[in-house]
Amino acid sequence: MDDLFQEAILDEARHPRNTGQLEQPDISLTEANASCGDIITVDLQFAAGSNKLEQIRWRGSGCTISQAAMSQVSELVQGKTAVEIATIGQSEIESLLGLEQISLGRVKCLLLGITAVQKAIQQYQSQEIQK
Amino acid sequence: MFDPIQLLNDFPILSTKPHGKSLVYLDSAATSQKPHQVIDAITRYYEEHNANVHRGVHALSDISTADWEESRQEVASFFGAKPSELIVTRNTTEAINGIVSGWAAHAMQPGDVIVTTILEHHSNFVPWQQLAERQQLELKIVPVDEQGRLQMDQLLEWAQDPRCKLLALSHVSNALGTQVPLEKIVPEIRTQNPELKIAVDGAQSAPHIPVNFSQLNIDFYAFSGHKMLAPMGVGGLLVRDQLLQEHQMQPWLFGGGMIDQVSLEKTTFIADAAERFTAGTPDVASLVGLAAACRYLRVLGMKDVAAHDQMLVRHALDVLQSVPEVTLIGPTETDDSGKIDRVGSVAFLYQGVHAHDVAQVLDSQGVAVRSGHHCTMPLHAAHDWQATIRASFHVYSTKTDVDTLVAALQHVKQVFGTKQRQ
Repeated sequence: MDDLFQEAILDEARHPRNTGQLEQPDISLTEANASCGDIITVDLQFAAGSNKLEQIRWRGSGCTISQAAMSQVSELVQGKTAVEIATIGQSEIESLLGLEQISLGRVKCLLLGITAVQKAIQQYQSQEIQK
Repeated sequence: MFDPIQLLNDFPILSTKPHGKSLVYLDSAATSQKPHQVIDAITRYYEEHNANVHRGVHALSDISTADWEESRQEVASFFGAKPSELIVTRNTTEAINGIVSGWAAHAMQPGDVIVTTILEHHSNFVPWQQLAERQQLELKIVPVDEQGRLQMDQLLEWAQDPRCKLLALSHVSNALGTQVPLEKIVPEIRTQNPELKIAVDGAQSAPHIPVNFSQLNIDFYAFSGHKMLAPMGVGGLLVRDQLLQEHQMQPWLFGGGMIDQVSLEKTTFIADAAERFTAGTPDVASLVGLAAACRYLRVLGMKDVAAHDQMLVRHALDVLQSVPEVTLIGPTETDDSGKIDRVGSVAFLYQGVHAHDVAQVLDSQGVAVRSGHHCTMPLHAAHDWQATIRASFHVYSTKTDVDTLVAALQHVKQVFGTKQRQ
Protein backbone atom coordinates (compact mmCIF):
# COMPACT_ATOMS: atom_id res chain seq x y z
CA MET A 1 0.00 0.00 0.00
CA ASP A 2 2.80 2.37 0.89
CA ASP A 3 4.11 2.58 -2.67
CA LEU A 4 0.61 2.40 -4.17
CA PHE A 5 -0.42 5.80 -2.88
CA GLN A 6 2.95 7.52 -3.13
CA GLU A 7 2.81 11.22 -3.89
CA ALA A 8 3.87 10.78 -7.53
CA ILE A 9 0.88 8.54 -8.27
CA LEU A 10 -1.55 10.74 -6.38
CA ASP A 11 -0.21 13.76 -8.23
CA GLU A 12 -0.46 12.03 -11.60
CA ALA A 13 -4.11 11.21 -10.87
CA ARG A 14 -4.83 14.75 -9.65
CA HIS A 15 -3.21 16.34 -12.68
CA PRO A 16 -3.65 13.84 -15.50
CA ARG A 17 -1.96 14.54 -18.82
CA ASN A 18 -3.46 14.49 -22.32
CA THR A 19 -7.06 14.65 -21.14
CA GLY A 20 -9.80 15.95 -23.38
CA GLN A 21 -10.91 14.90 -26.82
CA LEU A 22 -9.73 15.15 -30.43
CA GLU A 23 -11.90 16.97 -32.94
CA GLN A 24 -11.49 14.33 -35.63
CA PRO A 25 -10.08 11.14 -34.15
CA ASP A 26 -9.31 8.21 -36.43
CA ILE A 27 -10.80 6.02 -33.75
CA SER A 28 -12.52 6.51 -30.41
CA LEU A 29 -13.11 3.70 -27.93
CA THR A 30 -14.53 3.38 -24.44
CA GLU A 31 -13.34 0.68 -22.07
CA ALA A 32 -14.88 0.01 -18.67
CA ASN A 33 -13.81 -2.06 -15.74
CA ALA A 34 -17.01 -3.92 -14.95
CA SER A 35 -15.94 -4.93 -11.48
CA CYS A 36 -15.43 -1.41 -10.16
CA GLY A 37 -17.06 0.99 -12.59
CA ASP A 38 -13.86 2.68 -13.81
CA ILE A 39 -14.34 4.00 -17.33
CA ILE A 40 -11.95 5.49 -19.90
CA THR A 41 -12.54 6.81 -23.43
CA VAL A 42 -9.56 7.27 -25.74
CA ASP A 43 -9.39 9.25 -29.00
CA LEU A 44 -6.50 8.32 -31.29
CA GLN A 45 -5.14 10.01 -34.38
CA PHE A 46 -2.50 8.40 -36.59
CA ALA A 47 0.09 10.07 -38.80
CA ALA A 48 -1.13 10.22 -42.39
CA GLY A 49 -0.41 7.01 -44.25
CA SER A 50 1.31 5.30 -41.32
CA ASN A 51 0.46 3.34 -38.23
CA LYS A 52 2.32 5.74 -35.97
CA LEU A 53 0.16 7.21 -33.20
CA GLU A 54 0.36 10.96 -33.59
CA GLN A 55 -2.03 12.18 -30.94
CA ILE A 56 -4.02 10.80 -28.04
CA ARG A 57 -6.59 12.39 -25.81
CA TRP A 58 -8.59 10.64 -23.14
CA ARG A 59 -11.27 11.21 -20.53
CA GLY A 60 -12.68 9.07 -17.82
CA SER A 61 -13.32 8.51 -14.17
CA GLY A 62 -12.27 5.92 -11.68
CA CYS A 63 -9.81 5.05 -8.98
CA THR A 64 -6.39 6.64 -8.54
CA ILE A 65 -4.58 3.72 -10.16
CA SER A 66 -6.68 3.61 -13.32
CA GLN A 67 -6.42 7.37 -13.82
CA ALA A 68 -2.71 7.69 -13.01
CA ALA A 69 -1.86 4.71 -15.20
CA MET A 70 -3.86 6.10 -18.13
CA SER A 71 -2.11 9.43 -17.77
CA GLN A 72 1.30 7.73 -17.93
CA VAL A 73 0.22 5.51 -20.80
CA SER A 74 -0.96 8.54 -22.79
CA GLU A 75 2.58 9.94 -22.63
CA LEU A 76 4.20 6.61 -23.37
CA VAL A 77 2.26 5.74 -26.52
CA GLN A 78 2.50 9.05 -28.37
CA GLY A 79 4.81 8.74 -31.37
CA LYS A 80 4.96 4.94 -31.10
CA THR A 81 3.83 2.54 -33.81
CA ALA A 82 0.91 0.16 -33.43
CA VAL A 83 3.34 -2.75 -33.17
CA GLU A 84 5.31 -1.08 -30.41
CA ILE A 85 2.17 -0.22 -28.48
CA ALA A 86 0.90 -3.81 -28.79
CA THR A 87 3.88 -5.05 -26.77
CA ILE A 88 3.26 -2.79 -23.75
CA GLY A 89 2.29 -4.88 -20.76
CA GLN A 90 1.76 -4.85 -17.02
CA SER A 91 5.39 -4.68 -15.93
CA GLU A 92 6.13 -1.63 -18.08
CA ILE A 93 3.20 0.30 -16.61
CA GLU A 94 4.15 -0.78 -13.09
CA SER A 95 7.62 0.64 -13.72
CA LEU A 96 6.19 3.89 -15.02
CA LEU A 97 4.25 4.30 -11.79
CA GLY A 98 7.18 3.23 -9.65
CA LEU A 99 5.45 0.08 -8.45
CA GLU A 100 7.23 -3.22 -7.93
CA GLN A 101 4.19 -5.43 -8.29
CA ILE A 102 0.59 -4.36 -8.01
CA SER A 103 -1.84 -6.54 -6.01
CA LEU A 104 -4.02 -8.93 -8.00
CA GLY A 105 -7.13 -6.96 -7.12
CA ARG A 106 -5.80 -3.83 -8.81
CA VAL A 107 -4.37 -5.31 -12.04
CA LYS A 108 -7.52 -4.46 -14.00
CA CYS A 109 -7.35 -0.86 -12.77
CA LEU A 110 -3.71 -0.62 -13.85
CA LEU A 111 -4.36 -2.08 -17.31
CA LEU A 112 -7.65 -0.32 -18.13
CA GLY A 113 -5.98 2.52 -20.06
CA ILE A 114 -3.53 0.48 -22.10
CA THR A 115 -6.30 -2.03 -22.86
CA ALA A 116 -8.43 0.80 -24.23
CA VAL A 117 -5.57 2.04 -26.42
CA GLN A 118 -4.67 -1.44 -27.71
CA LYS A 119 -8.30 -2.32 -28.46
CA ALA A 120 -8.79 1.01 -30.23
CA ILE A 121 -5.76 0.34 -32.44
CA GLN A 122 -7.02 -3.16 -33.29
CA GLN A 123 -10.39 -1.73 -34.21
CA TYR A 124 -8.77 1.01 -36.30
CA GLN A 125 -6.64 -1.53 -38.17
CA SER A 126 -9.70 -3.71 -38.88
CA GLN A 127 -11.51 -0.69 -40.28
CA GLU A 128 -8.52 0.23 -42.46
CA ILE A 129 -8.34 -3.29 -43.89
CA GLN A 130 -12.02 -3.19 -44.75
CA LYS A 131 -11.66 0.13 -46.61
CA MET B 1 -27.26 -13.22 24.52
CA PHE B 2 -23.88 -14.39 23.30
CA ASP B 3 -20.76 -12.28 23.60
CA PRO B 4 -18.99 -11.95 20.21
CA ILE B 5 -15.63 -11.63 21.97
CA GLN B 6 -16.15 -15.12 23.39
CA LEU B 7 -16.73 -16.43 19.85
CA LEU B 8 -13.45 -15.16 18.44
CA ASN B 9 -11.59 -18.29 19.51
CA ASP B 10 -13.97 -20.32 17.38
CA PHE B 11 -12.75 -18.57 14.22
CA PRO B 12 -9.04 -19.31 13.69
CA ILE B 13 -8.67 -16.90 10.78
CA LEU B 14 -9.63 -13.92 12.92
CA SER B 15 -6.34 -14.18 14.81
CA THR B 16 -4.26 -13.81 11.63
CA LYS B 17 -2.50 -10.51 10.96
CA PRO B 18 -2.49 -9.32 7.35
CA HIS B 19 -0.02 -6.43 6.95
CA GLY B 20 1.10 -7.19 10.52
CA LYS B 21 -2.10 -5.71 11.94
CA SER B 22 -4.97 -7.45 13.69
CA LEU B 23 -7.58 -8.46 11.14
CA VAL B 24 -10.85 -6.53 11.29
CA TYR B 25 -13.00 -8.53 8.92
CA LEU B 26 -15.95 -6.46 7.71
CA ASP B 27 -16.64 -8.37 4.49
CA SER B 28 -18.96 -11.09 5.74
CA ALA B 29 -21.65 -10.25 3.17
CA ALA B 30 -19.18 -11.45 0.52
CA THR B 31 -18.36 -14.54 2.54
CA SER B 32 -18.41 -15.30 6.24
CA GLN B 33 -15.53 -16.82 8.18
CA LYS B 34 -15.85 -20.42 9.40
CA PRO B 35 -15.77 -21.62 13.01
CA HIS B 36 -13.61 -24.61 13.87
CA GLN B 37 -16.82 -26.55 14.61
CA VAL B 38 -17.53 -26.40 10.86
CA ILE B 39 -13.94 -26.99 9.79
CA ASP B 40 -13.65 -29.95 12.19
CA ALA B 41 -16.89 -31.49 10.93
CA ILE B 42 -15.58 -31.44 7.38
CA THR B 43 -12.19 -32.83 8.41
CA ARG B 44 -13.85 -35.59 10.43
CA TYR B 45 -16.03 -36.51 7.48
CA TYR B 46 -13.02 -36.95 5.22
CA GLU B 47 -10.88 -38.64 7.87
CA GLU B 48 -13.49 -41.08 9.15
CA HIS B 49 -16.64 -41.25 7.00
CA ASN B 50 -15.79 -40.62 3.36
CA ALA B 51 -17.51 -42.88 0.83
CA ASN B 52 -20.01 -42.30 -1.92
CA VAL B 53 -23.63 -42.09 -0.81
CA HIS B 54 -26.52 -44.32 -1.85
CA ARG B 55 -24.14 -46.51 -3.83
CA GLY B 56 -22.51 -49.18 -1.74
CA VAL B 57 -23.47 -51.88 0.70
CA HIS B 58 -20.32 -51.44 2.74
CA ALA B 59 -20.21 -49.81 6.15
CA LEU B 60 -18.62 -46.52 5.14
CA SER B 61 -21.18 -45.92 2.44
CA ASP B 62 -23.93 -46.37 5.05
CA ILE B 63 -22.20 -43.91 7.39
CA SER B 64 -21.74 -41.36 4.61
CA THR B 65 -25.36 -41.77 3.51
CA ALA B 66 -26.48 -41.22 7.10
CA ASP B 67 -24.31 -38.08 7.26
CA TRP B 68 -25.96 -36.81 4.08
CA GLU B 69 -29.50 -37.52 5.25
CA GLU B 70 -28.98 -36.17 8.78
CA SER B 71 -27.36 -33.04 7.39
CA ARG B 72 -30.27 -32.51 5.02
CA GLN B 73 -32.66 -32.76 7.97
CA GLU B 74 -30.60 -30.33 10.06
CA VAL B 75 -30.44 -27.73 7.28
CA ALA B 76 -34.11 -28.02 6.33
CA SER B 77 -35.15 -27.81 9.96
CA PHE B 78 -32.99 -24.71 10.46
CA PHE B 79 -35.16 -22.97 7.84
CA GLY B 80 -38.48 -24.39 9.06
CA ALA B 81 -38.81 -26.57 5.97
CA LYS B 82 -39.41 -30.29 5.42
CA PRO B 83 -36.29 -32.25 4.42
CA SER B 84 -38.06 -33.16 1.18
CA GLU B 85 -38.38 -29.45 0.36
CA LEU B 86 -34.60 -28.93 0.30
CA ILE B 87 -32.69 -29.18 -2.98
CA VAL B 88 -28.98 -28.99 -2.27
CA THR B 89 -27.19 -26.66 -4.68
CA ARG B 90 -23.74 -25.11 -4.90
CA ASN B 91 -24.96 -21.65 -3.90
CA THR B 92 -27.76 -19.09 -4.26
CA THR B 93 -26.92 -18.43 -7.90
CA GLU B 94 -27.30 -22.08 -8.83
CA ALA B 95 -30.51 -22.26 -6.80
CA ILE B 96 -32.06 -19.30 -8.65
CA ASN B 97 -30.99 -20.70 -12.01
CA GLY B 98 -32.66 -23.91 -10.82
CA ILE B 99 -35.97 -22.06 -10.45
CA VAL B 100 -35.54 -20.79 -14.00
CA SER B 101 -34.73 -24.19 -15.50
CA GLY B 102 -36.84 -26.38 -13.20
CA TRP B 103 -40.01 -24.31 -13.07
CA ALA B 104 -40.18 -21.00 -14.94
CA ALA B 105 -38.92 -22.22 -18.32
CA HIS B 106 -41.94 -24.50 -18.75
CA ALA B 107 -44.47 -22.76 -16.49
CA MET B 108 -44.32 -19.29 -18.05
CA GLN B 109 -45.80 -18.39 -21.41
CA PRO B 110 -45.15 -15.45 -23.78
CA GLY B 111 -46.81 -12.33 -22.42
CA ASP B 112 -46.52 -13.43 -18.77
CA VAL B 113 -44.98 -10.95 -16.37
CA ILE B 114 -42.09 -11.33 -13.92
CA VAL B 115 -41.84 -8.66 -11.25
CA THR B 116 -38.41 -8.14 -9.70
CA THR B 117 -36.67 -5.16 -8.08
CA ILE B 118 -33.77 -2.85 -8.67
CA LEU B 119 -32.27 -4.01 -5.37
CA GLU B 120 -31.43 -7.42 -6.78
CA HIS B 121 -27.97 -8.95 -6.94
CA HIS B 122 -27.16 -9.83 -10.55
CA SER B 123 -27.81 -13.46 -9.67
CA ASN B 124 -31.49 -12.70 -9.06
CA PHE B 125 -31.77 -10.34 -12.00
CA VAL B 126 -29.82 -11.62 -14.98
CA PRO B 127 -31.44 -15.12 -14.99
CA TRP B 128 -34.90 -13.46 -15.21
CA GLN B 129 -33.75 -10.95 -17.79
CA GLN B 130 -32.37 -13.81 -19.90
CA LEU B 131 -35.55 -15.87 -19.52
CA ALA B 132 -37.74 -12.87 -20.39
CA GLU B 133 -35.72 -12.34 -23.56
CA ARG B 134 -35.88 -16.01 -24.55
CA GLN B 135 -39.58 -16.51 -23.87
CA GLN B 136 -41.03 -13.09 -24.66
CA LEU B 137 -41.94 -12.35 -21.05
CA GLU B 138 -42.30 -8.89 -19.59
CA LEU B 139 -39.86 -8.00 -16.83
CA LYS B 140 -41.00 -5.25 -14.48
CA ILE B 141 -38.51 -3.73 -12.06
CA VAL B 142 -39.70 -2.14 -8.82
CA PRO B 143 -37.71 1.01 -7.98
CA VAL B 144 -36.57 2.16 -4.53
CA ASP B 145 -37.17 5.39 -2.64
CA GLU B 146 -34.39 7.75 -1.53
CA GLN B 147 -33.68 5.55 1.53
CA GLY B 148 -33.23 2.43 -0.58
CA ARG B 149 -36.57 0.90 0.37
CA LEU B 150 -38.77 -0.71 -2.26
CA GLN B 151 -41.68 1.33 -3.55
CA MET B 152 -44.28 -1.04 -2.17
CA ASP B 153 -47.31 0.53 -3.85
CA GLN B 154 -45.69 -0.15 -7.20
CA LEU B 155 -44.73 -3.70 -6.24
CA LEU B 156 -48.22 -4.53 -4.98
CA GLU B 157 -49.88 -3.00 -8.02
CA TRP B 158 -47.76 -5.02 -10.45
CA ALA B 159 -48.01 -8.21 -8.41
CA GLN B 160 -51.81 -8.24 -8.49
CA ASP B 161 -51.87 -8.23 -12.30
CA PRO B 162 -53.18 -11.68 -13.32
CA ARG B 163 -50.48 -11.79 -16.02
CA CYS B 164 -47.84 -11.65 -13.27
CA LYS B 165 -46.73 -15.24 -12.66
CA LEU B 166 -43.60 -14.65 -10.60
CA LEU B 167 -42.34 -12.19 -8.02
CA ALA B 168 -38.56 -12.62 -7.62
CA LEU B 169 -37.00 -10.50 -4.89
CA SER B 170 -34.34 -10.38 -2.21
CA HIS B 171 -35.20 -10.77 1.45
CA VAL B 172 -32.26 -8.50 2.28
CA SER B 173 -30.33 -6.34 -0.20
CA ASN B 174 -26.66 -7.27 -0.43
CA ALA B 175 -25.72 -3.72 -1.43
CA LEU B 176 -27.82 -1.58 0.91
CA GLY B 177 -28.89 -4.02 3.62
CA THR B 178 -32.55 -3.12 3.09
CA GLN B 179 -34.83 -5.76 4.61
CA VAL B 180 -37.97 -6.39 2.58
CA PRO B 181 -41.00 -6.89 4.89
CA LEU B 182 -42.09 -10.26 3.46
CA GLU B 183 -44.31 -11.00 6.47
CA LYS B 184 -46.34 -7.92 5.62
CA ILE B 185 -46.55 -8.08 1.84
CA VAL B 186 -46.83 -11.82 1.12
CA PRO B 187 -50.32 -12.26 2.69
CA GLU B 188 -51.61 -9.26 0.72
CA ILE B 189 -50.14 -10.56 -2.54
CA ARG B 190 -51.55 -14.04 -1.90
CA THR B 191 -55.04 -12.62 -1.49
CA GLN B 192 -54.83 -10.53 -4.65
CA ASN B 193 -53.08 -13.01 -6.94
CA PRO B 194 -53.28 -16.58 -5.59
CA GLU B 195 -51.61 -18.10 -8.66
CA LEU B 196 -48.49 -15.96 -8.39
CA LYS B 197 -45.27 -17.72 -7.34
CA ILE B 198 -42.90 -15.95 -4.98
CA ALA B 199 -39.15 -16.63 -5.20
CA VAL B 200 -36.94 -15.13 -2.51
CA ASP B 201 -33.19 -14.63 -2.71
CA GLY B 202 -32.20 -15.37 0.88
CA ALA B 203 -28.44 -15.08 0.48
CA GLN B 204 -28.27 -12.14 2.90
CA SER B 205 -31.14 -13.01 5.23
CA ALA B 206 -30.23 -16.63 6.00
CA PRO B 207 -27.03 -15.65 7.85
CA HIS B 208 -28.58 -12.98 10.08
CA ILE B 209 -32.30 -13.32 10.85
CA PRO B 210 -34.66 -16.18 11.72
CA VAL B 211 -36.18 -17.57 8.54
CA ASN B 212 -39.17 -19.92 8.59
CA PHE B 213 -39.89 -21.09 5.06
CA SER B 214 -43.27 -22.52 5.94
CA GLN B 215 -44.46 -19.43 7.84
CA LEU B 216 -43.23 -17.05 5.14
CA ASN B 217 -45.66 -18.80 2.80
CA ILE B 218 -43.42 -18.38 -0.24
CA ASP B 219 -42.70 -20.85 -3.05
CA PHE B 220 -38.92 -20.72 -3.37
CA TYR B 221 -36.12 -19.63 -1.04
CA ALA B 222 -32.50 -19.68 -2.22
CA PHE B 223 -29.47 -19.43 0.07
CA SER B 224 -25.70 -19.91 0.18
CA GLY B 225 -23.88 -21.83 2.89
CA HIS B 226 -20.69 -19.81 2.71
CA LYS B 227 -22.40 -16.63 3.89
CA MET B 228 -23.72 -18.39 7.00
CA LEU B 229 -20.46 -19.82 8.44
CA ALA B 230 -20.44 -22.91 6.18
CA PRO B 231 -17.97 -23.75 3.41
CA MET B 232 -18.08 -22.36 -0.11
CA GLY B 233 -19.70 -24.59 -2.71
CA VAL B 234 -22.84 -25.60 -0.86
CA GLY B 235 -26.21 -23.92 -0.60
CA GLY B 236 -29.82 -24.74 -1.17
CA LEU B 237 -33.14 -24.13 -2.79
CA LEU B 238 -36.24 -24.61 -0.66
CA VAL B 239 -39.26 -25.43 -2.80
CA ARG B 240 -42.86 -25.57 -1.56
CA ASP B 241 -43.83 -29.20 -1.11
CA GLN B 242 -46.87 -28.90 -3.35
CA LEU B 243 -44.77 -27.79 -6.34
CA LEU B 244 -42.62 -30.90 -5.93
CA GLN B 245 -45.47 -33.32 -5.33
CA GLU B 246 -47.38 -32.05 -8.36
CA HIS B 247 -44.20 -32.12 -10.47
CA GLN B 248 -44.56 -28.44 -11.26
CA MET B 249 -40.93 -28.18 -10.18
CA GLN B 250 -38.91 -30.54 -12.35
CA PRO B 251 -35.31 -31.73 -12.25
CA TRP B 252 -32.95 -29.60 -14.30
CA LEU B 253 -29.80 -31.66 -13.84
CA PHE B 254 -29.77 -35.22 -15.10
CA GLY B 255 -27.45 -38.09 -14.34
CA GLY B 256 -26.76 -40.80 -11.82
CA GLY B 257 -28.49 -40.96 -8.46
CA MET B 258 -31.79 -39.39 -9.54
CA ILE B 259 -33.15 -42.00 -11.94
CA ASP B 260 -35.70 -44.73 -11.45
CA GLN B 261 -35.42 -46.67 -14.72
CA VAL B 262 -33.35 -45.99 -17.80
CA SER B 263 -34.00 -47.72 -21.10
CA LEU B 264 -32.88 -46.90 -24.60
CA GLU B 265 -36.20 -45.17 -25.20
CA LYS B 266 -37.06 -43.48 -21.94
CA THR B 267 -35.97 -42.51 -18.43
CA THR B 268 -38.13 -42.24 -15.33
CA PHE B 269 -37.00 -40.42 -12.23
CA ILE B 270 -36.92 -41.39 -8.59
CA ALA B 271 -40.13 -40.54 -6.71
CA ASP B 272 -38.40 -39.12 -3.64
CA ALA B 273 -38.32 -35.36 -4.17
CA ALA B 274 -34.92 -34.84 -2.59
CA GLU B 275 -33.18 -37.56 -4.58
CA ARG B 276 -34.88 -36.53 -7.81
CA PHE B 277 -32.90 -33.30 -7.68
CA THR B 278 -29.53 -34.78 -6.72
CA ALA B 279 -27.85 -35.73 -9.97
CA GLY B 280 -24.32 -37.04 -9.67
CA THR B 281 -22.19 -37.43 -6.56
CA PRO B 282 -23.14 -34.68 -4.10
CA ASP B 283 -20.70 -32.66 -1.99
CA VAL B 284 -21.40 -34.55 1.22
CA ALA B 285 -18.57 -32.99 3.23
CA SER B 286 -19.75 -29.47 2.48
CA LEU B 287 -23.32 -30.32 3.43
CA VAL B 288 -21.98 -31.81 6.68
CA GLY B 289 -20.21 -28.46 7.15
CA LEU B 290 -23.42 -26.55 6.42
CA ALA B 291 -25.30 -28.65 8.96
CA ALA B 292 -22.57 -27.89 11.52
CA ALA B 293 -22.96 -24.17 10.75
CA CYS B 294 -26.74 -24.44 11.24
CA ARG B 295 -26.15 -26.13 14.62
CA TYR B 296 -23.68 -23.40 15.58
CA LEU B 297 -26.17 -20.67 14.73
CA ARG B 298 -29.01 -22.58 16.39
CA VAL B 299 -27.04 -22.76 19.65
CA LEU B 300 -26.42 -19.00 19.50
CA GLY B 301 -30.09 -18.53 18.68
CA MET B 302 -31.12 -16.75 15.51
CA LYS B 303 -33.14 -14.17 17.45
CA ASP B 304 -29.98 -13.21 19.31
CA VAL B 305 -27.96 -13.33 16.08
CA ALA B 306 -30.45 -10.86 14.61
CA ALA B 307 -30.34 -8.64 17.70
CA HIS B 308 -26.54 -8.60 17.57
CA ASP B 309 -26.65 -7.61 13.91
CA GLN B 310 -29.20 -4.89 14.60
CA MET B 311 -26.96 -3.46 17.32
CA LEU B 312 -23.96 -3.39 14.95
CA VAL B 313 -25.90 -1.80 12.09
CA ARG B 314 -27.24 0.96 14.31
CA HIS B 315 -23.82 1.57 15.87
CA ALA B 316 -22.16 1.70 12.44
CA LEU B 317 -24.74 4.18 11.14
CA ASP B 318 -24.23 6.34 14.25
CA VAL B 319 -20.45 6.49 14.12
CA LEU B 320 -20.13 6.76 10.34
CA GLN B 321 -22.53 9.69 10.37
CA SER B 322 -19.94 11.56 12.42
CA VAL B 323 -17.35 11.37 9.61
CA PRO B 324 -17.84 14.53 7.48
CA GLU B 325 -16.57 12.93 4.25
CA VAL B 326 -18.94 9.95 4.54
CA THR B 327 -22.33 9.81 2.85
CA LEU B 328 -24.37 6.84 4.01
CA ILE B 329 -26.57 5.12 1.46
CA GLY B 330 -29.54 2.85 2.11
CA PRO B 331 -31.90 2.96 5.09
CA THR B 332 -30.67 5.14 7.96
CA GLU B 333 -33.88 6.09 9.75
CA THR B 334 -35.08 3.95 12.62
CA ASP B 335 -38.75 3.36 13.44
CA ASP B 336 -40.52 4.54 16.59
CA SER B 337 -39.11 1.60 18.57
CA GLY B 338 -35.56 2.47 17.49
CA LYS B 339 -35.28 -0.48 15.10
CA ILE B 340 -34.13 -0.27 11.51
CA ASP B 341 -35.11 -2.45 8.56
CA ARG B 342 -31.50 -2.93 7.59
CA VAL B 343 -29.58 -6.17 7.99
CA GLY B 344 -25.98 -7.27 7.82
CA SER B 345 -24.22 -4.25 6.36
CA VAL B 346 -23.83 -0.52 5.96
CA ALA B 347 -22.75 1.10 2.70
CA PHE B 348 -21.32 4.52 2.05
CA LEU B 349 -19.49 6.88 -0.25
CA TYR B 350 -16.37 8.82 0.74
CA GLN B 351 -16.32 12.31 -0.70
CA GLY B 352 -13.75 12.75 -3.44
CA VAL B 353 -12.05 9.37 -3.15
CA HIS B 354 -12.89 6.31 -5.24
CA ALA B 355 -14.26 3.35 -3.29
CA HIS B 356 -11.36 1.11 -4.34
CA ASP B 357 -8.85 3.61 -3.04
CA VAL B 358 -10.70 3.89 0.26
CA ALA B 359 -10.80 0.09 0.57
CA GLN B 360 -7.08 -0.15 -0.22
CA VAL B 361 -6.15 2.33 2.51
CA LEU B 362 -8.45 0.54 4.99
CA ASP B 363 -6.79 -2.75 4.07
CA SER B 364 -3.40 -1.29 4.95
CA GLN B 365 -4.83 -0.74 8.44
CA GLY B 366 -6.02 -4.36 8.67
CA VAL B 367 -9.66 -3.48 7.91
CA ALA B 368 -11.21 -5.64 5.19
CA VAL B 369 -14.25 -4.08 3.48
CA ARG B 370 -15.79 -4.46 0.03
CA SER B 371 -15.70 -1.82 -2.68
CA GLY B 372 -17.30 -1.78 -6.10
CA HIS B 373 -20.85 -2.26 -7.33
CA HIS B 374 -21.43 -5.44 -5.30
CA CYS B 375 -23.03 -7.14 -8.32
CA THR B 376 -25.83 -4.56 -8.35
CA MET B 377 -25.00 -2.51 -11.44
CA PRO B 378 -28.59 -1.42 -12.17
CA LEU B 379 -28.94 -0.09 -8.60
CA HIS B 380 -25.64 1.76 -8.84
CA ALA B 381 -26.45 3.18 -12.29
CA ALA B 382 -29.86 4.40 -11.12
CA HIS B 383 -28.17 6.42 -8.37
CA ASP B 384 -25.14 7.43 -10.42
CA TRP B 385 -22.81 5.69 -7.98
CA GLN B 386 -19.65 4.54 -9.73
CA ALA B 387 -18.67 2.36 -6.79
CA THR B 388 -19.59 2.16 -3.11
CA ILE B 389 -17.96 0.91 0.09
CA ARG B 390 -19.68 -1.75 2.17
CA ALA B 391 -18.85 -2.87 5.69
CA SER B 392 -20.66 -6.06 6.63
CA PHE B 393 -20.98 -8.09 9.79
CA HIS B 394 -21.50 -11.47 11.33
CA VAL B 395 -21.73 -13.02 14.78
CA TYR B 396 -18.01 -12.47 15.42
CA SER B 397 -18.16 -8.77 14.55
CA THR B 398 -17.93 -6.24 17.37
CA LYS B 399 -18.55 -2.56 18.02
CA THR B 400 -14.78 -2.24 18.31
CA ASP B 401 -14.44 -3.51 14.73
CA VAL B 402 -16.75 -0.73 13.58
CA ASP B 403 -14.84 1.85 15.63
CA THR B 404 -11.57 0.61 14.08
CA LEU B 405 -13.10 1.14 10.64
CA VAL B 406 -13.96 4.73 11.52
CA ALA B 407 -10.46 5.33 12.92
CA ALA B 408 -8.93 3.84 9.75
CA LEU B 409 -10.95 6.28 7.64
CA GLN B 410 -8.73 8.99 9.13
CA HIS B 411 -5.87 7.45 7.14
CA VAL B 412 -7.88 7.94 3.95
CA LYS B 413 -8.03 11.61 4.79
CA GLN B 414 -4.28 11.67 5.47
CA VAL B 415 -3.41 9.96 2.19
CA PHE B 416 -5.80 11.78 -0.09
CA GLY B 417 -6.38 15.05 1.72
CA THR B 418 -9.80 16.61 1.54
CA LYS B 419 -9.57 18.40 -1.80
CA GLN B 420 -9.49 15.37 -4.07
CA ARG B 421 -11.25 15.40 -7.39
CA GLN B 422 -14.97 14.64 -7.13
